[in-house]
Amino acid sequence: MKITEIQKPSDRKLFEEFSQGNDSGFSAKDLVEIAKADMQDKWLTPVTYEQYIAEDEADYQAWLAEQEQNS
Amino acid sequence: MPNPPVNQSVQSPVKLWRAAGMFQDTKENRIWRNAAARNSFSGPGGFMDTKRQNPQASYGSSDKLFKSNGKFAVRVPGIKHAHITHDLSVVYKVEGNNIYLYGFFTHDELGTGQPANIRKQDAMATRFSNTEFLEETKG
Repeated sequence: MKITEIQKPSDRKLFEEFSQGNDSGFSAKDLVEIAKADMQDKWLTPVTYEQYIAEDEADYQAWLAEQEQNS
Repeated sequence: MPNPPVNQSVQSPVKLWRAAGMFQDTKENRIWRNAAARNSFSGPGGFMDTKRQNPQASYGSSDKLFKSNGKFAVRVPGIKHAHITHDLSVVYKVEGNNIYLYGFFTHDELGTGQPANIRKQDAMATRFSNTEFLEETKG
């Protein structure tokens, strides 16, 4: 996302706020997206570690197969 | 002493919450495309494995809170980051046995990791402010 793509005034305000003396090691635009995610408080259904590992492996293999098909 | 219930001896009590959209998007683009990063995040001895044992445990010396003097840390209290690779970090928060995973983010896209480039950030913020001003006065 480019700076010019930050359209909402609230996003712009956050961007300016986080840009001031930003020494976090992350770009201000990423910090805006993270802060927005926190404010929105929208989460996928929580999973256990074991569920995460199983789901991630299945999704990753499917993604790999798709990548191979597209290449 | 009675044996603990089977599920407690096998499953971690940790619950993983993943930010809708952001977590999957950044995982696909930055973790799945990088075998080392994927292994460092979810492989044996990796970030997830470490947190599975104890969510408060540190995953290396880079695992820490965002700087408390930063405005971002004030907006999102308790938020942390840990290096997955030298230029990629997972951003997350821990509350009890709940780990909130926001996503994976790179360093230095805008040179933010280096103090000298804070000026660059400020310059971009100024440019951004000017852009907003011009748009508002148009027409």
